[in-house]
Amino acid sequence: MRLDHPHLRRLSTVAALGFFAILGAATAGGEEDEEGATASAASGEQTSAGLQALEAHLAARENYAEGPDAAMIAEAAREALAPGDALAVRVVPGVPRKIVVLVRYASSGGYENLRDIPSSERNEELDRIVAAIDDAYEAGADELGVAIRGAVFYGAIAVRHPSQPIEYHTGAVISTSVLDPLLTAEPGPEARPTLEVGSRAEGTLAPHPMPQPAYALTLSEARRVRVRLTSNVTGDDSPIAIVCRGTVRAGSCAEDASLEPLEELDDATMDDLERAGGEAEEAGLSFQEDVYDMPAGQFTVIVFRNDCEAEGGCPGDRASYTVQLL
Amino acid sequence: MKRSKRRGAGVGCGRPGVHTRVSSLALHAGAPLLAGALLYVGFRAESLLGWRWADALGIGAPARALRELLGSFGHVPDWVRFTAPDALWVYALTHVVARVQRGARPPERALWLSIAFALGPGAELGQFAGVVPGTFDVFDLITTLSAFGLASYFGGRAPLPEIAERTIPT
Repeated sequence: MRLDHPHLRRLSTVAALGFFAILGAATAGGEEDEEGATASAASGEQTSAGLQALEAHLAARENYAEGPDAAMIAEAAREALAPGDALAVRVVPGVPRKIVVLVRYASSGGYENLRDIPSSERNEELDRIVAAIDDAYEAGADELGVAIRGAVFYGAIAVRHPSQPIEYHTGAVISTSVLDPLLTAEPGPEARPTLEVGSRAEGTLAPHPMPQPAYALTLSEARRVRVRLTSNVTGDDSPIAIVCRGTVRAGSCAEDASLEPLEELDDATMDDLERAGGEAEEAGLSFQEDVYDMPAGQFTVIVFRNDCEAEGGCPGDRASYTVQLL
Repeated sequence: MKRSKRRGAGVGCGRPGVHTRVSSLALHAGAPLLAGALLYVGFRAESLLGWRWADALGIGAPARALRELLGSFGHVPDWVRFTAPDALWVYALTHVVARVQRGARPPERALWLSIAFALGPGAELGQFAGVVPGTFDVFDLITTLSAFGLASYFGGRAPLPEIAERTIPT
């Protein structure tokens, strides 16, 4: 049969069409974002300039941190990652703070690649990272975005708005646009409540991961300061007040950053303490008062919850308190 | 005798006519398919059916290793990832059809090419009309139309097979 015989030509064409149809079928079955169109890309997985800028700092086994407390957040998030993962954190100051945590999973070291982790388990991965951040930083009042990418695609994103539960965006190829508002936000002032000697503040605690209440204190000269805390929650569940050097969050107030109260007090001070404590007890309030000899400088007075291990929350989670500087 | 000699001489011996045909086919069909396949392997989702086929065929692991390698080259623009593979596929398909049918009568050639058109730009138009699932994009339409036009042109201009031209049917 001649090679250009009509039958052979038709047969060859049908075979070619069949071959190409099989190739076309192999590219079917993607998720909606993966439907092979730039329109899909534009609305779906197109990477924003802000995200690309932060991605540029992703380097295996390294933390990149940009913005206030970003290094601390990166260090905390690193606890939930494999050693070879890349991590970049950007914090935009303001009320609320915007925190974006980018993670690129390593493809070596015996750890699973992102693509090998089912979508259902990716949310657990996100939970672990968010929990690690909250344990150290308590970002419940911040805008928080955590995104995990593999070699090419983002496959898991968690976004949490202040005081809200986590929103998960997980899949083979997902839109990163949910991170854009966090990445493109303009830095703003952070109005931290202040306390002065002789003043008092009242408030209510909120459960983890909401941050512990913190008050800025500025001393222009060294002096003795009494920090008095009363609360409607008594006993072991009552809150406690701690003074830290600098303007910090509770998580940043490590032991070496907190001030030690005086142990030896004069009789007049002790009498005053006993009298105030008795009045608080009569009123059904817990009472704590510590006395500090403080140098001039910036300090933070933090009211700590007395967290417990109970599943349904702790009695002191929503305690009302009054903190007073004397 | 003449035919067998030519065939024998042509296969793998670098005779100009056969070599040109092979390299032309590789350039216009093989290369686009290879490029498109690499884009799919390296930069598209693993939920695609092809990955399940690869696993079933036992080539999933090397395919993923290739994907990892390709991914290490970094980010590719979205139009490369999403639009180029479709255009390359349409080009290769149309070229093969046009090439095979270049000796056919014009009506029959047009008929076969219309199938390639329907599978390429036609599918995009079908998305616009809402009869084909997917997202219509005018850039995709332009690229697949261009691919179809170019491939029809080059495929139709390919030289006819020497054997068919020069042998006498027995």
